[in-house]
Amino acid sequence: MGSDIDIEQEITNWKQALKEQAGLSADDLQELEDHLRDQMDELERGGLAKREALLIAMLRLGQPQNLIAELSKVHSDRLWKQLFAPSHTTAQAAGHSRRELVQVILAAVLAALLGKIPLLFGISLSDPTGGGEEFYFRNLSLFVAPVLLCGFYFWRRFSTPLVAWLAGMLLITALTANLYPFQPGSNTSGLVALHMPLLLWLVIGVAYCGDDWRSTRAVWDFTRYSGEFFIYSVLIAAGGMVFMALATAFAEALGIQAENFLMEWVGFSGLLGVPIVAAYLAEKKRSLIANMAPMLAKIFIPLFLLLMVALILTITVLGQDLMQDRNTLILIDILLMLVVGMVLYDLSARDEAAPFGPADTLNLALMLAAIIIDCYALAGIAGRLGLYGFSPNKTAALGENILLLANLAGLAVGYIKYALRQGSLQHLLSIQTRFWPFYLVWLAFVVWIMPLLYNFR
Amino acid sequence: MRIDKELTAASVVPLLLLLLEQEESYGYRIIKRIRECSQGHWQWSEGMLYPVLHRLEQRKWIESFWHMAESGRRRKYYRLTALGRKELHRQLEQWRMIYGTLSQLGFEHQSQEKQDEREE
Repeated sequence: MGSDIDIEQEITNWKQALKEQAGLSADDLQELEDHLRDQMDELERGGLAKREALLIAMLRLGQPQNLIAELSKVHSDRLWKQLFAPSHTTAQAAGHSRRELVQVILAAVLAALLGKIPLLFGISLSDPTGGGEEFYFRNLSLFVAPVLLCGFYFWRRFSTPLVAWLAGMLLITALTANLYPFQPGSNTSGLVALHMPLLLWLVIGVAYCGDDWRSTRAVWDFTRYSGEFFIYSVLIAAGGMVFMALATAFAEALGIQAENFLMEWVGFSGLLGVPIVAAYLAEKKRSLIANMAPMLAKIFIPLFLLLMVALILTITVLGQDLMQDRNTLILIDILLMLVVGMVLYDLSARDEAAPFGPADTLNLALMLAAIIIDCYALAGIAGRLGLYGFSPNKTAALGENILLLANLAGLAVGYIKYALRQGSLQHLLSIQTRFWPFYLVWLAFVVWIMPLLYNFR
Repeated sequence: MRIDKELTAASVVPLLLLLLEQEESYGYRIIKRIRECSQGHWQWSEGMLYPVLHRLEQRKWIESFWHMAESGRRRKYYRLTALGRKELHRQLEQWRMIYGTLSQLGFEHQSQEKQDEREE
């Protein structure tokens, strides 16, 4: 019967809401579900229709928020403990999670070992000429990406053509970055170093979606995953930095010359391990951080909006030229990237059924402000291009600027249509998925081809 | 009649321990039993019961196990542990003391008088 299916769906939704909002374990959920169904059975015996019984049973159990507030008081420790020790009851599940933990640690060690391979070729981080530093800086993401790609392969098991494509992307990137004869301290080498992590992250995104990479849902899952990955990385790295600072300070206090050793072995290896652990946590513990991330977005979206309104006012009222400083273009790129990232993150965590609300108005205002600033910047730079020509940095920054602007404009149009009820949220989400291939192509261009065009300058 | 929130909070633990000493039980049944034993006056809320159950389990006063119910669903039952039994006796001792004090101060007499006044 159709209504029975509806009721099962309602119960599933109710459980999902509980699961997403609290650190409830599967057992807790089942306990509550059993309670709900007992209550329903009794109400039905009393003569209520199934649907009425469901509504009243849910009402009695209280709003998920209330239950969660109470339950999480008991389990406030669990929210954090759960990160590494899930509350599985069966020994089998516990063994499974222990095995997973070992795998993650091995993967992190593997990334650290990959980072030591260049030593075999005599390339050291503490090379006095500084060439070693440049090499490691350029290749940093190459030590991590293969491990993550393998990890996703073991989780997802995608088809052979996809494996070939992923391996190809990785190989081309590795070869171009290391066979090109970069001049020491060249701009193009720096550009490769900055763009390669982004390029490889998108490649990892394809692996994340697996053979579903065409589906809007999968792509948005990855968008959300990226935000969570970022937050986890920052958290872990912050802890790592405190650790390193303390370790170095103690070594100094004891008069031990350990700074180089600590940096090369502990700091550098730790740096390579961070993304591995963060990628694992973001994948496995998605419901945990989901509590934090939308809140972060809600805090920073108004702040950034204020900053940008102040910027716009300064430019229009005081007539300041935004492009006086050559670094401004990069600053604007970073600003736009953050804005796009925050808006996308907020969208990815959004309840699809919720109507257009004040938070959406803020999002929209943020995008419009970013577009205005970007137009000022582009107008400023257009005047100067004729004078100074295209340097590698300027070309790369300009390309990204235009891409981000197009993306923001596309999103803003979709958002306005959605606000005016002329388009669905689904449509807005599918607009965004069409932009990702362009980013991939542009990043590949900067990493693979630009060094050639500029003669490795 | 409504029981004050503070009084509920103070009595929920001994009541739960006492109830679980008599029989292994689960959340839904516990609420029902309390309602029955209070002649339908006392309705515990789920939002209160489950957190308390989980807290007692953390303290190892009670333990839980899964059992297949007649409905065909897995159901989480709770039972008293040896530690919980000790705690129960400790708390009951205190309640007896409170009850004894109340009695000495004419508790039964008072409530009877009130009843009589109302009936007149």
